[in-house]
Amino acid sequence: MTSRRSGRSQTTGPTDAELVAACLTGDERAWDTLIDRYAAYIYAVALRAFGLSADAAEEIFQDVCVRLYDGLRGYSGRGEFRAWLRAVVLSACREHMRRENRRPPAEIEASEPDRIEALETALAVRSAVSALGDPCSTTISLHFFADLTQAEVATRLGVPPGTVAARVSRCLRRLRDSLQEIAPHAASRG
Amino acid sequence: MPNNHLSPDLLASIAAEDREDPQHVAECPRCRADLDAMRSLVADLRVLPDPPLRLTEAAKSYFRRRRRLDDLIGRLIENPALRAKAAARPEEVLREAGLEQTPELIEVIRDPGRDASDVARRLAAKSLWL
Repeated sequence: MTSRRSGRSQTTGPTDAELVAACLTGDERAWDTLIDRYAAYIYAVALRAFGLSADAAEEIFQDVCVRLYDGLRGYSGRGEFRAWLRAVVLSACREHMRRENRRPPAEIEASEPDRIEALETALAVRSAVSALGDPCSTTISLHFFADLTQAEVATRLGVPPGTVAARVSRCLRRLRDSLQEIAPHAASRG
Repeated sequence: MPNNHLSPDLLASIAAEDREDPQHVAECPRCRADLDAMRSLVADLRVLPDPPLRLTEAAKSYFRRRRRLDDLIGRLIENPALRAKAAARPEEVLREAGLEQTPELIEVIRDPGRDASDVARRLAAKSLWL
């Protein structure tokens, strides 16, 4: 499968390295931003790439956050943060499976690299959504990430349902265009 | 005949709402490709749903608690008077540091060891996760 490389799609806001540096000075908002940026990815690796239960995914999420805190000083900007985080998450998942004395189902184990890559592609798309700014960012997030219907999004935002439908269409087009600017080949994949 | 192509907004709407392909798409390679690309984008958007809010809130809160604990441990190591107070009245020291008075934390600050990382090794860090 073709990938929108996640590192290239981080189009706005502080870089991961800047956030890590800020975390090391005690900047709480930097930590919050890192969590907002990667929480869905961490959770989804356990849930979707390893096929674990929601309870197990929560346990792994917690484990990864603790490791993240403890490892920030050691990481200190060497290499790409996402690659380091990926290694931490995969390690946490595999250790969890060993503790539980189980192996992933064969079909999941065989497709694990593809699943991880798909999640990282999706992570890049999430980053691009953030970069769209409001109202696109909020509308797309509520509809696709929080899985609200367009009617529910309309209620939440206090706008007519037709406005949400129009925004979703317009924002999807903007998103596709922005991804084409970042990774033209990947954005046009079928 | 460009005027016959489906509008980008319509293609986006079809993809977003998972509607069936219009007849035109079967006959128009360009619209077929555009719709496929849009459906692929929508699929990517649905791959990473938000985790439960309480998880992200707990992760954010964890950073603050760990910072408070690390700071307290640093002060305990530097300050014999505070160390004596922690040995005698650990609940009070924890409360003043803004930390919960859990049995694990009480045990840790009674004997903080050599440094904060040592504490991290001894303390099940997850006990700060609420």
